[in-house]
Amino acid sequence: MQIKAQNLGFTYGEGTPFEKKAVSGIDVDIPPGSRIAVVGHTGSGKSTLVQHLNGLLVPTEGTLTVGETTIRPGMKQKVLHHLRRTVGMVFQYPEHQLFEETVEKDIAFAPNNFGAGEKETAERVRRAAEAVGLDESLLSRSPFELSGGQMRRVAIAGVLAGHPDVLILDEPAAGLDPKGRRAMMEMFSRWQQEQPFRSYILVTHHMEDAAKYADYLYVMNAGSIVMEGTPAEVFQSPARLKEARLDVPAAVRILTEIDGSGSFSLNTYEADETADEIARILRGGGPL
Amino acid sequence: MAEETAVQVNNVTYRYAEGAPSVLSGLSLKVEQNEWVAITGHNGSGKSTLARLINGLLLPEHGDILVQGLNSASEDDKVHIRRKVGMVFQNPDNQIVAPTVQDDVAFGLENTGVDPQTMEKRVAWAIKAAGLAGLEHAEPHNLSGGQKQRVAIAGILALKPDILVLDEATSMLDPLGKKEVMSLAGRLHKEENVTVISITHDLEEVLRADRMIVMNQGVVTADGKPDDVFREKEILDRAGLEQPFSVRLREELARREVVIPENAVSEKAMVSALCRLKHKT
Repeated sequence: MQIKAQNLGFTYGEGTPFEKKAVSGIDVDIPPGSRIAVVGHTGSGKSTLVQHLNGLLVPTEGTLTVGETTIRPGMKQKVLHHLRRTVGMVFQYPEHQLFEETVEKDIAFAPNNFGAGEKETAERVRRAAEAVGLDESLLSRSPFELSGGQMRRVAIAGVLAGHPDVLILDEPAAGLDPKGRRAMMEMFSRWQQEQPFRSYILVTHHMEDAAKYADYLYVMNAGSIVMEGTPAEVFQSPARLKEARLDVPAAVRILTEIDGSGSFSLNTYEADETADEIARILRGGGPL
Repeated sequence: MAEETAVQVNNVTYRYAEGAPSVLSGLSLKVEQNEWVAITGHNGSGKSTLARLINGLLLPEHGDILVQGLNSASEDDKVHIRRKVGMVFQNPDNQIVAPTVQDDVAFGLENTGVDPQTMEKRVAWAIKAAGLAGLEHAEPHNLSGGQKQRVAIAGILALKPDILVLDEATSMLDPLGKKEVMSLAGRLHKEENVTVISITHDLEEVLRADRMIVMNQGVVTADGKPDDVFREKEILDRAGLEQPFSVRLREELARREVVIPENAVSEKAMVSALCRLKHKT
């Protein structure tokens, strides 16, 4: 599904004394099958921006097209409900949103609500649980008896069971230990690759994750997109990222120091690849 | 005051409810005065429980906790422990109570019955020390996450604690916010001789510590200099941890016959070692 924002802006409490412009002048164009990261510091407007994509917020300026739907200022949120089906949203700390008696019922909520039949719902629950690595034996348990990590998986399975085409991931790995973080991100990566039309939009200030799990970055600061491009393009300007209160991944920082000309190429931003590049530079450059 | 052990955990067992599994099982450890210790481990390893036990928010089921010799199980001692141990939690929005930065920083002091002149001085000092000068009258909800955490730390500083416990205090912050909070903790450690206990699974943060303790299933599975512990891949793996980027890079470089001196630990030191190597070739 194509997502296109043109000059999108959003002001909280428009026309009240508490009016506050959160984002403005936003242009994005996201084709189907994309892995996108929206990066920015706390309060840069990234969460406000992505909440437009499934109709949670209606822009107060500009237009937003999500698939066949064009959203303009003043439109009623009600007519946008179908977007919740195609654009799944994983909020920060999604485990806070669990509410059902059993894991199974919690995961089944979206497909039920979207009118999938009993049999289809059961099948979707089973597959979503499998995708997030939840053991089938947990389905009959109360979600509130599970560990924090398992609860988060239940919440995410609930979003996946709605069969979205696009997933919005707002700091999905926040608070997880390093192994849990990696497992979570790998899981979304696998989900995205299963179908050529699936996209995700990762909202994060974790630059290593943005580098590794996105092919295109939008950098936000003070409610605007201040930079965009492939990770390699964006990381060529550490000074501009710093202005946006962000940093480049350690791999880029180290390589930039050693080779000021920036003639290095990274793909995974992992230590082995970085070591290859350093060894190559120390050998006096040589072919990439 | 005699050099007393800052925190002593003696054979402590804790569970959240009767019949529930033990979160800590016979845990013992010591943190010396003016040490910077990082306590790390996977989600659910018991590290945050330990933090709450240290300042008496929770009491051990078995064993005892001594803070500079004071026992957390004693009601009389607990009051003093709370003054000695300042805690900063994960979510900056949950620990601010007053309408302005200044009032928030003064809140803890107001409850201790300090005279107004001393209070004014201490609040001003704490705000300055936390790098918040100029924001005295700002409304906390208008601040960045890093600033809010520094307001929380300033409130603790005003009470002049000997021990600062950071319980995942940077995990919700953006990179600059993290840096702000860590460098403030670093200054307090150096200039005010504050003992720092940082509970974290941010690997770069662990590297700042003098010592790291790895917890797994309620017991200590490693305890030593971060440099040494981060070589123990198996222990890290079982504890849900990984090697920090700089440690992995060093190992990968060694495999490519690029050797970085042992003492070049920080990213900066590694970079200058590599630059020297580059100029030699």
